[in-house]
Amino acid sequence: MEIITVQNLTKVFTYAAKEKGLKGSLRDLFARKTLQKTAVENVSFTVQKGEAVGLLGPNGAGKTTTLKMLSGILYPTSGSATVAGYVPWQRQRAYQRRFAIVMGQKSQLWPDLPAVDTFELNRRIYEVDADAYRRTLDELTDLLDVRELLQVQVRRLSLGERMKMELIAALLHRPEILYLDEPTIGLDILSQRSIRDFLKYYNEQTRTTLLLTSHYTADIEALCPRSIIINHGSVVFDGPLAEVSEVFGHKKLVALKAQRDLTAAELAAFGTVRACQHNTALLEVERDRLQPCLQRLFGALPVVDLDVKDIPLEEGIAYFYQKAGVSAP
Amino acid sequence: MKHLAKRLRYYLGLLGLFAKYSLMEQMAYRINFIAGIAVECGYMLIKLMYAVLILRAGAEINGLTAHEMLMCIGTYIMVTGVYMGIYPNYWALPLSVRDGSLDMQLTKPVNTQFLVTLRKLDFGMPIPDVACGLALIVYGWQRAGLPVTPGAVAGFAVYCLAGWFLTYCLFLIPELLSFWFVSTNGVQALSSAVFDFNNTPMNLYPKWVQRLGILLLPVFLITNFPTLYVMGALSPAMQVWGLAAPLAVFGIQRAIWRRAMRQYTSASG
Repeated sequence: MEIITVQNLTKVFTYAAKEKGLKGSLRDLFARKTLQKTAVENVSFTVQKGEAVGLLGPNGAGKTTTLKMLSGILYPTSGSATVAGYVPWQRQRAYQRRFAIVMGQKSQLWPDLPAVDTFELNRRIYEVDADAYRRTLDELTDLLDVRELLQVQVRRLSLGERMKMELIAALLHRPEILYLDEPTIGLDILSQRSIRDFLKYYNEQTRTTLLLTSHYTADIEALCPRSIIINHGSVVFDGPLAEVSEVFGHKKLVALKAQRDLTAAELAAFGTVRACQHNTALLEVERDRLQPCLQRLFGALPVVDLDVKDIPLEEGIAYFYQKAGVSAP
Repeated sequence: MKHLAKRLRYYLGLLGLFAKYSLMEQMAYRINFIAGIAVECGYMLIKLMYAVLILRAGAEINGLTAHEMLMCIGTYIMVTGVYMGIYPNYWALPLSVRDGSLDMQLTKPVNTQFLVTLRKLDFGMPIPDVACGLALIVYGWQRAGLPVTPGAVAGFAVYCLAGWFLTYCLFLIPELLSFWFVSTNGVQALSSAVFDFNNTPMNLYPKWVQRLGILLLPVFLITNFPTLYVMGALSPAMQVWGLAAPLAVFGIQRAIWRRAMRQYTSASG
């Protein structure tokens, strides 16, 4: 069952041009030029109930703007969207009770009070029954292992601890849809993993629909069976992340270490030299030529260590970031 | 009706919680809390200078005795105090438009204007103003020899509430300009200057200024009408206008608010 339907969603921001220097500022004072930036352009996709979908894209691609329109923060310039049967930017209370948004760089917690006070405020705002609230709070604090931190002032919490509290604050009313904008940004590896594990478990257990943006591919890999790559405001890929890797599926990377120093010139005969430093090198080789290449390498060079790898997922994603269409390189 | 009562209880409950949390936050910073009271006491003393001057002169100006003027000044100080109680929200609004911190508040299933304008309540600054304003009103009322009947007291209270509501709506409008122009410090200063027209009773201004301040930009209603009502100096038409103007300004302010919400562009990051 489709819970999110987005059709040709477009957002154009209008802003005043700012000329450089004092002269420019004076000119701006009397005649100001306005410019337009298309943040999201004709984006269309659907999300099924219970699905976890990742929105990927470089900075300024339009991921966050898309999330903000779906959560009703922004009005679109054109296009349409319905979430759980509601038009998000109409900001109907019934819709606002059915979703939550967590933003890595924005907080809903009162910084000078313990997080539990914000939770109580959210309980009252969302009119959550006291017993249900206690049960949910117990469950979430146990899952995220933050019971001892409930009474600590929010501003004294670490970034990872604060993000866990943000998640609890967002989930207390048991939303059907959870929008996550860079939920692991700035967190250490352990905190990232902890948040990821929690979200994966929560999505599996409650079938809450997740729409997630992140710069960390690991977040998307761990949580989202499906990814949408947005670049320059448009969808350039929609499918499983594994398919992104297949863009470079016909290539392999060969990392090798030799007994002596290597030169790029002598390695060029085996494949594309990506790096060559002292006695180590990294080569890019066509997959169907891998076996003869390796045999020749062992024959021609004093190889002491060798590792064959797939092209990293990030490179596949970067390819889509740089390209508007989807065609193999 | 039952639904309306339920909604009223809901919003009053939230307001109570905002008040509690704001007080808890302010208590956490004792020095700032005390400094806030001290600063407001300083401003209040400046306002009191007018009252002292008027009392010393003891003259009747344009139909108002010194003690009746004292009531107007007392009302001004009291309303200022209540306005200061919610002012942190007004002050923060342009900033939250600029840095996008309004985002989270727009997603809550509660009236956004209620959340944005009443979330943080200041207790330090209103305490001296409300206490001093009330004292001046009581003293002026008593010395002016005006009737202390339930009708007069209720009328005074109703026009005070209408005045406060008018203040809430009228002075929110300049803050809303930040949705279009982002930085509105100049407009904020201008609106403070307009509010301070109430520093002295409106009878002290020329007739054309009074008309402007009653009919076009109804700032004089805020602190003059309660006293004028008790004095029996409000014509029936002005009595109606005193209650209708806040509602009219509320309508205008809500229309601007709705446009502002559509205009909101958030901020990246």
